[in-house]
Amino acid sequence: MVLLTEVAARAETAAVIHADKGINMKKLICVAAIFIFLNITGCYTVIWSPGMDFPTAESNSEYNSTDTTDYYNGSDNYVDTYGDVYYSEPYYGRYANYYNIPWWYSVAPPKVYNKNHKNDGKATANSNGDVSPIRNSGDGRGNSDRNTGDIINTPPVTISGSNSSSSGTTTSGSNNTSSGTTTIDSKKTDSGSDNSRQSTSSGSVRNNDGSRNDGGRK
Amino acid sequence: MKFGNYTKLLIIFVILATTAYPQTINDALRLGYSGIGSSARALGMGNSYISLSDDASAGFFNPAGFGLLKKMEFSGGLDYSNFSNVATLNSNGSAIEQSSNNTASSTTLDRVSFAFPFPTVRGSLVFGLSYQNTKDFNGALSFSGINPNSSFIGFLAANNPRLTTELHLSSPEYINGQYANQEFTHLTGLLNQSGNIINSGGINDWTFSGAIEIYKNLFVGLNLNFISGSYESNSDYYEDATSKSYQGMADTTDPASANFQTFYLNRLLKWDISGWDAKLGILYQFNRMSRFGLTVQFPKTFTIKESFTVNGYSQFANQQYDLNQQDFSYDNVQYDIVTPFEIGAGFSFNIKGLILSAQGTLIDYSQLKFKNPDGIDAVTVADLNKSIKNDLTAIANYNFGAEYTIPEVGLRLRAGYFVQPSAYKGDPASFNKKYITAGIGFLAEEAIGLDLAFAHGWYSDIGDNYGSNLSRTTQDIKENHFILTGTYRF
Repeated sequence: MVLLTEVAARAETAAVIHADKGINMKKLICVAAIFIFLNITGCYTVIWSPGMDFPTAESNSEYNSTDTTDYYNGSDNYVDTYGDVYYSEPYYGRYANYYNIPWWYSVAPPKVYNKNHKNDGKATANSNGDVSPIRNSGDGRGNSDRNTGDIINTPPVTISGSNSSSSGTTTSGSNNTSSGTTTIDSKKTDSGSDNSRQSTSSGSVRNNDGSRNDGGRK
Repeated sequence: MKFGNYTKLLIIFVILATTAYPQTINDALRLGYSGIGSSARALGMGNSYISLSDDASAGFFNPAGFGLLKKMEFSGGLDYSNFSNVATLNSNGSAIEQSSNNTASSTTLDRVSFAFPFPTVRGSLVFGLSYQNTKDFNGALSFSGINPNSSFIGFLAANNPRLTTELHLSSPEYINGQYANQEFTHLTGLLNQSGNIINSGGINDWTFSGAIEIYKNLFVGLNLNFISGSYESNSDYYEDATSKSYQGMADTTDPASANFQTFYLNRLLKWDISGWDAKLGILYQFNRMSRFGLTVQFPKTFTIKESFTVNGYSQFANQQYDLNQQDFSYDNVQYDIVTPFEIGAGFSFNIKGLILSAQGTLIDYSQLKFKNPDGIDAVTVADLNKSIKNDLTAIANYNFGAEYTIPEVGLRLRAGYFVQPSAYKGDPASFNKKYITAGIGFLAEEAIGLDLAFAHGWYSDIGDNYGSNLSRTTQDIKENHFILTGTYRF
């Protein structure tokens, strides 16, 4: 009987201890939940993330808590150009910089690459003629000897009669090859919404002798 | 061996099997009292820092203060503490000795912290990690005097006779020729009582902090704190015969116990401390000149693994009896001490380089509690918790501080004052811990800060060698603390 009583007492004690530990665990979870909540759902703070403009002194000036940064400046004439205020600050001197200027203002804004668009942020072969001199230099002969890659730009087609030929339908090398710079226009082979490029198309309008084919305008 | 001796051995066995190791209110208060922190700047301002906390020491004062950091910060420092007292031994309120002076000191690494503010387009989000020494238990005490009114031997014979029995310092009481399960002793006074106590140890916190600006200039922060620490109290206690002491046999069953000379007891108490707690902080900056801070310190749960070792002997003219250490020592006791909520509020005002700061912290020490006993009688713990409710009360710590910056040289001058009232009901004001502080700070290269603080504290305290007011030491205590903190912001 005594043994049973003792066992019951021990079980009760264990239950109490277990319950206490359970309460502790609940406290821990509660605290963790508050912590996570406060740090995730902050409605005012906006954390910089890739894809956003990197915060700088200039870009942050409209958002920054100027009152907070003012605390160690103490000047009534404080403006949001931190550096000027820091060096002119009469009350805190060098401490103003110590407290006020975020560390990320002193780092170069990182370049951002968007994975969804492979060429975002990069120069492309057809978007920036400046790349070509670099890409095409120093590899074999220059383009002055050959017309490979030269662009043939044609002026808009003019219709001046059934057999007339317009000088504008021929290309002038001096106008369209720009001293070794090659511009590759991908639209050159488009179906031809732009009249100026129809002359280089597959000849849907004009025959080989220069006369219009039957597919032309009636 | 006589039948009576068998009976006594049986009683000792029974007592050993059902021993309850009584803790005291002092054990709870030791952990419940506020420490002095680990920041030179804060201490220089009287630890009136709830409404400032704009450095990595926010992990101790107000976690919301992390939200004010705009640079990464790495900081740390050293603490030198010196404890001294003038102790007087009293019996029934009368001094029975000349005062004695005691000192104890320690040097510790008091803090290493790192804070990382996330780049934000608007507002603030900062995380921090700190290791800090938040409290030290250094103390020393010595005393000596002839107590005409009582003795520890007599107290033990009446309350825990197995020790006096083992040392042949008491005699069995018989009723109608039968052992009455009681002991008596003639050594009840006129003994020279002397001793010394050395306390050491401290509390270390690993603190993870986060703070966010949830509205313009309104910051909320939270600490999650993991505690480790230790405490050791090493006590030597002597009672020596004087010319007027009892000369006969201390144990009437043992002729060798005649002519008592000395009773010696060494007690070594060790704690291995662990635990956790959390602290919520709010900080709001009204305008460029005023800040308000509010903190809620959730109850700290300390888990104590306790070991207790007792050595001792009794010396008679022709015989010495040694205490069997195994009979009175243990290392299997564990329990929790849970501290009460602490609610703090502070305000600071900044005008033309001068910061004035004040704060108060409400702590209801009657809510201190022993919990989850393992190896301690539950009834003992319940009685102890009842004593805490009866003897302790709610108090309010208050702090004041000021700081002035001389911008031309990057120098800061600080001063402060703070009071931690006694947790015991009815204690006079002299028992309140009072600290006056001063400090300087210097900033080099706009990134490296160096701060030094000094705090001088003074208060009175009492301690009972046994019982209540039977052999009491009164102490006039002085504390000196130096904290050196280095900070690097980048």
